[in-house]
Amino acid sequence: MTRSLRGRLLLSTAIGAILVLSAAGVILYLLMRASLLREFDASLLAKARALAALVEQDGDRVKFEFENLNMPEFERPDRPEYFQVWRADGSVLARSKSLSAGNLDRLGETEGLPAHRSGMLPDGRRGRQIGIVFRARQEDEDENREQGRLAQLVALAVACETAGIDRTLTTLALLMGGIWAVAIAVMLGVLAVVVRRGLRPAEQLANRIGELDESDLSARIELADAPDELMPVIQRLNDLLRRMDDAFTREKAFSADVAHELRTPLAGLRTTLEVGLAQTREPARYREALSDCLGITQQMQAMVDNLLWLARAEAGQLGIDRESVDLAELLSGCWQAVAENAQRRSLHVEWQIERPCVLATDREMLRQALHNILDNAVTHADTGGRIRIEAGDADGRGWCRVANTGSRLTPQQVQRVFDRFWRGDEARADTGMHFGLGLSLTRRIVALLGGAISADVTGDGLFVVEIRI
Amino acid sequence: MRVLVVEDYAPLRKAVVQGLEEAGFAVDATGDGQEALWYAGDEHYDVIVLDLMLPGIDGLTLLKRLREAGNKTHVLILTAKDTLDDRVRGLNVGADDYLVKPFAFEELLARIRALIRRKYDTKDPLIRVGDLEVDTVRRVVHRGGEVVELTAREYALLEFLALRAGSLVTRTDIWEHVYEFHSSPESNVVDVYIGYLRKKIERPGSPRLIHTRRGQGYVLGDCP
Repeated sequence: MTRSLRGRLLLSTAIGAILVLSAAGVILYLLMRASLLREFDASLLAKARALAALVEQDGDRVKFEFENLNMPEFERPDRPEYFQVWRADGSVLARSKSLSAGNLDRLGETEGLPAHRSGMLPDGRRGRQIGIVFRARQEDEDENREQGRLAQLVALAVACETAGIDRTLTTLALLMGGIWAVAIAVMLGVLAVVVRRGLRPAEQLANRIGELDESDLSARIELADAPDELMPVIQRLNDLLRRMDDAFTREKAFSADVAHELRTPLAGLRTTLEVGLAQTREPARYREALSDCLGITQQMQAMVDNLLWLARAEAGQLGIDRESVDLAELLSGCWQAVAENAQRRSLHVEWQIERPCVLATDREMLRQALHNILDNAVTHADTGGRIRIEAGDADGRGWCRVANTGSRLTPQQVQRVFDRFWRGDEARADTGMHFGLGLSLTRRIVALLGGAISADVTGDGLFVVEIRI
Repeated sequence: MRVLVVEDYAPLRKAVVQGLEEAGFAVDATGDGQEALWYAGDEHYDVIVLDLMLPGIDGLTLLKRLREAGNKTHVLILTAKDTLDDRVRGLNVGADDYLVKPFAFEELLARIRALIRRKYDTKDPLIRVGDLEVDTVRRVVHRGGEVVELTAREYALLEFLALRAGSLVTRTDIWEHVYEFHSSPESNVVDVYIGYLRKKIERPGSPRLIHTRRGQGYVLGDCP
């Protein structure tokens, strides 16, 4: 079986159509033949009846009044017809001249029921024979009945060539065969066109799919006059394309961000190592270079961790595990991680926590978010500046506000602090190592936890981040 | 030769400064755009190595302002932005070269040296003054085929004089191109170093190489 849909359709419809056409042809032929034979038989029967009328019973003797026969067809030497008449005892009463000494087969057993048979005539031509059995006509019927004499049974057979019918049937068969062949040819052509037309949308769809550029997933499949059967396929494909496009775009942006943001620390690492190796140095200098490299590596690792976390969060791979979390406790825990840095930068910290503030949320995610906010504040506050940490709950939702002094951001720039990376040509507020990623991650976490985050800057350089969970 | 490094990522800035200093450059460095503008204003730098994403003023704006102010210092942009668009924009704003992070320090050095040659209108990294040869790539000096051992500062001074061989070089020029911004040498330190150089490159019986123009400065090689 061919694998092409068109081939299959064409083959099966062609076979079906040929079968139907052939059957119709055969049935028509048989009907015609039967009709012709019926007519032929009717004329044979008429002839037989005419002959039967010549059989007469006189007393016990049955006779065939041959002198009354005026039927030259039984006498002509060329293509004659035949008849033969038998008495009840089977002896031949009469036979046509054309038979000379030959015999026809006796046909028919029952009175009044003609029997027919096709076969060979005595001279070898194809022909058809009818046989009837009848009672001989009595010359004086009433007298015979009185004397208890019954009319005797006489059998009569008439045979005649069927060349006419055969010719007609042959012509008919040839004609129908020709019509059959032409019809099949025309039908196959029409079928091919119809099948191709019918499958054209599928073919177009296949072409459209083939034309899709793997590097450009923004393309969608649009098929004018697409049949209803193909609409679900097209819709699903477009959905799939859109999802792939989204994922691909996200992936591309992510890789670009990573590559871009890792370049600077990587340059730091490479240059530190290259410069360090450029000449022989005191061990202390090597130690310093190694320590610098370690610091850079740790920053890079933190960034890679954060980026991966962010990528997973954006792909929706992180599950949320809600439990009862004390915001105040979590905040003080997070502060421990950045306290050393804050101390080194001589930052002054003010706390204002309303107790109790207990939320049902994912502890680890919230910890990460709070850590990022605190780390951002400590990193960006001016040396010797202030950090103010406030938290509480209102209407069953927790809130936390972290403010640091010394921000140089403009209100326009504040709107972009949640972008994954600080992009564009505007000045960055600080080294790109911290900016963008931490708060972008935080916004994502807060969103996953069903909360909201906002940032603002006041005229005197107070940068405020607020989350509501 | 004096270089200004403007890079906001401190570990990279530190490494580049160290590498350039060890290669004999007088280096000033800053991580802030505003500060960089102030540094670059006096035009004493032979090359400015400029990062694009900076706090204060971003690199491209800074470069545009320098060029608008008529500053002709050669600028090499050193950035993580690597797209064709970024590079074209950087060069179109007035940068002389563009290097993408991460880079090989060797390449940064070579590009800075190429910019310096361009500034002093010389193509050959080997400068010849009489029988004195200054190889600015290997930083080796020969006099009459013999190697002359010089300290980093002496070499820097000689290279500066050699790049401007035949022209008058004032003490202020030397001051501004061989010393970092923050150094505060004694007033006669240039004369002292010229003295050291003379001792090392001039031999009794050979013609003088460094000529003093009293009250003005020095000329290496033949007088104009």
